[in-house]
Amino acid sequence: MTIMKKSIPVGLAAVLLTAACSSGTNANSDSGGDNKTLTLASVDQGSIEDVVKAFEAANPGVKVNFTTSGADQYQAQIRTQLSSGTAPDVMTVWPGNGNPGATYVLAKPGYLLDLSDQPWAAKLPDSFKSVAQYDGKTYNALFGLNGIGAVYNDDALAKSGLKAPTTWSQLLTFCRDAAAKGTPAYALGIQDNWVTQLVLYGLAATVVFGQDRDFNTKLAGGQATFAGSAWTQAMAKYQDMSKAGCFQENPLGTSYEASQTLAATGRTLGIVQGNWIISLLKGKNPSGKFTMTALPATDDPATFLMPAAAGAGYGVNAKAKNKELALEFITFVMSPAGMKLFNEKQGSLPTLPDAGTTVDPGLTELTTFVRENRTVPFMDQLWPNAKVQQTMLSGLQEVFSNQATADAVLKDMDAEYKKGE
Amino acid sequence: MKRFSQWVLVTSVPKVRRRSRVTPPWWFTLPALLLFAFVVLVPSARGVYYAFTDWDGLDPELAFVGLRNFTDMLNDGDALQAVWHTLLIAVAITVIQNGIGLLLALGVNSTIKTRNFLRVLLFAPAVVTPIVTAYLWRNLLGPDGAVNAVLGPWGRDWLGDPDLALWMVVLVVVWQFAGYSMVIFLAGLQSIPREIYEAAAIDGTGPVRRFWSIVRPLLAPAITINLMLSIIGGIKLFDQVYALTGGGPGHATDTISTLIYKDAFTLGEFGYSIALAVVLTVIVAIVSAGQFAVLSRNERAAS
Amino acid sequence: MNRYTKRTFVLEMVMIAVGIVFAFPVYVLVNLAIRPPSDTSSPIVPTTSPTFGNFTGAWREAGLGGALINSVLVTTVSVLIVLAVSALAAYPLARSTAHWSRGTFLLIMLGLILPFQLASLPLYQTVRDLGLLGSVWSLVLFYAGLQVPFTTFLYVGFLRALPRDFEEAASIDGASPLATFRHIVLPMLKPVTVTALVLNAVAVWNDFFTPLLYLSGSDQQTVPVAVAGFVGQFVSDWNLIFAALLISIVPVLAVYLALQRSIINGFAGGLKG
Repeated sequence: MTIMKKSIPVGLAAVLLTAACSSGTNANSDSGGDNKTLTLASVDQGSIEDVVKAFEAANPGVKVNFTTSGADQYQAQIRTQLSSGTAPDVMTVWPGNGNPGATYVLAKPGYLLDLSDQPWAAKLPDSFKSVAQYDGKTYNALFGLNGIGAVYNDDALAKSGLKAPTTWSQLLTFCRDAAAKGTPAYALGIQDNWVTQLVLYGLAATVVFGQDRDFNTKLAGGQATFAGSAWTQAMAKYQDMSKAGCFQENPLGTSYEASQTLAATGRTLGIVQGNWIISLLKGKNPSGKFTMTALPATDDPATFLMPAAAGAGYGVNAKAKNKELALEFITFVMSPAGMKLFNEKQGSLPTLPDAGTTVDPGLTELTTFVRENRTVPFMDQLWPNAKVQQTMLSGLQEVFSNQATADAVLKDMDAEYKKGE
Repeated sequence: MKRFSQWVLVTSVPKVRRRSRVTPPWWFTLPALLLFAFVVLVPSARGVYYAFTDWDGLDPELAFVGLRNFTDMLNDGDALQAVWHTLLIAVAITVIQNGIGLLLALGVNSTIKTRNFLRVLLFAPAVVTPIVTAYLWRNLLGPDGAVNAVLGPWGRDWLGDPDLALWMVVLVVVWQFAGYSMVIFLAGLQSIPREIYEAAAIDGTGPVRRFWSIVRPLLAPAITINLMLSIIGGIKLFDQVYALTGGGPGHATDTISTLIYKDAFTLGEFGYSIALAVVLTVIVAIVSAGQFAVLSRNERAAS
Repeated sequence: MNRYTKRTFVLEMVMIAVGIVFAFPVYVLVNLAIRPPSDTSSPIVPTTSPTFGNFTGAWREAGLGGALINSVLVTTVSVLIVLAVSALAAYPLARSTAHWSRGTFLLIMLGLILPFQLASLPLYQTVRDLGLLGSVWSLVLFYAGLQVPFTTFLYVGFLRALPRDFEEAASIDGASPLATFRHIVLPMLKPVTVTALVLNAVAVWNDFFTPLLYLSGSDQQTVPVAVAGFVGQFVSDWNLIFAALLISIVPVLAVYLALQRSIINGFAGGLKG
């Protein structure tokens, strides 16, 4: 079972229950520079295993010692290991900035090897280059792309006799009708606080960036703030959805896992999540069909944007014991075969055009949006520090439990943003 | 397990009757001292140094920032809230766990037939790994969990409601350790000679009065031990909060310990995080010193 | 006092009810652990078609076998070390009234209030430099040092309440201090040793964060770490998770039930002085 939350560059984001679950063997010390043994640390539980197998099969005599863990645990470990010189040769690195395992954070003190001369580095589309690079050099092999939207359980939807909404007004009516029938529209599991941001991102993509594609630049330049901007409207719409009964009862006591069960078994009509959720839902309901669409945030579908961004990729330790082998592994991940394997396992889209990945039919709309350049990166990937996002995540929990107002949360985010790096 | 400790003071009145001619050599302390210095003392001292720096746990470059981490704390609403939660949890656990523990002890110190069975049953949770009991309760207290299944229409969103979540943490700790308080009270009750009860019963003293004026004073050592164990344990509480709520919803159940963890590992503010650890140390030290003072006074009164 | 009256009966019923409330979580734990994942009925309804599939699945996936061996090894060795060095240190600390003795005692007692968060990161770097990361021996070393203050405290308190006549007789007879310690003092320490053994073993066995930090990135795990990792990985399958929780509890409960009298007395030990 893969926990795909790491696909979102969430800092800790508190999946409370994650911890080290090592499936490999000893990743540190004893493996000398023999170019036969590669050490690897990953958060891609459920997909890295197959990639490693394929890599070993393609390179006879090579052994990959790998460990996997949940995102928060991984970030705690990788920090300690990098600063102590015990980190593995290859490791999960998140794109951009804003969490303790992100490209900027690790590249700045010189912990990552410059990958700019790798053939794939030049081929990355610009939107990924900005988050794979630090100071003009490429450090992160980003292989997968993820988007956020409304995912519907097709059978439950058919049974309810309702139609998936395509405008904001329809969405509110849809929520009221669904709630009246006893099957709420969307499952929301915000006991795990990283989930709180997904609906907000889905709304903000259209509401904030639909009006102003350069909002992040203005934010960085100090010409804009969260409070008083279109973020206020996105927040208000999130609360409108809650008031219209879009979500099941007790969202704060519902875990990410429990929300999957609700959507998979048709106790809600859908869920607002990332594309990775589809394979998880199918795991819980193998006969189910699930379709992802943009989350309507205005009454003009032509203006809709979807949040879509690179998921976590891989970087090479600047002090890797087996640099050559590490680079070979990176090359494999970014090759059409490796990328296809990884993305099909994760249910994500490839970052390079020629990977030949078979995309889940439920993701057609996301693919179209990506092709038409109607996506915006996850908002936090260019925020200057991890605390902005953490403030938003716990702030949203506080909004849902009436401990704080949306405006206060946005002001707190501004305060953390201004503290810079 | 530090929390199980201070009780020995009760029995540790130094009784130096005469000066010994032969004292054991000082080097007997050496193995223990070396291990202790290596594992606790030296790293803690180095930790205190980091509290005055801006170390992010990663960057080898770190700058000395003086008291800034500590002054920042005063403006950090999350930190102040966490201090409040920590004290609230410690006091709530102390009062409730010992109240229930005492009632249980009185119950199983009777002539009921199931007393031995109940002793074993009620104490059992105390030996189970806290992180395991917390995971168990996280499921029990979920919206579709067993607790709501029993309560039916009175069910609540126990862990998602910020007004309730903190009390759920208290509940889980009390469930696990009330039996432990019981065992200590029980040992105290059993050390009271039967004749004292019987004399009181003959006097026609009622059970409540008998407890208050006869049993309670004799239970003083057990009460002191129990209070110390639960209050120090409550202040340092981490595993249960981490596994049960992660400090949420929002920051509604964050304690100093969970904030130390988050600031260090999520936000990379190691310097600030260790400064919080210093504050935690000071709180524990103040409480311990207060208890030590009370203890010494009690001992003087008793002797 | 000893008669079984109507009032005793009422008390008995009340206490049994309390016992049921306390045992309720364990009932749910067992009930869900033996339930096939396809059974989605209420968690409090007894499972109709129990299965042991969850246990075999959990055992295989969580690597609990290796974790149990590690936990037993770490607990046994570190507790033995800490008992040995603490008892030895307690002897002069309890008997000498010299300044160095009082100073040393206070220094060690400082360890009772220092939270582990303060030392954990600097110590991590030291353990790394020793090449012990990912090895269970780093844990043995850690607990052997961490538990010294508490254990020494127990021994010193107990020793101070003991008369020193036997020791003095032995030293007059010409026995060396070490021989006196081994043959005279140590046997007298037996009751407090049981207490120290029980409390230390429970503390070491149940600790979660230290092994998480020191064993991360290796295939070595202790039981709490294996369980937490398993919960993280199989977060969606509570039946499997409950089976794993149950497996992790059973050895502890088995030891507890087998040695209940010593263990309960151990926990309550200090009161009887």
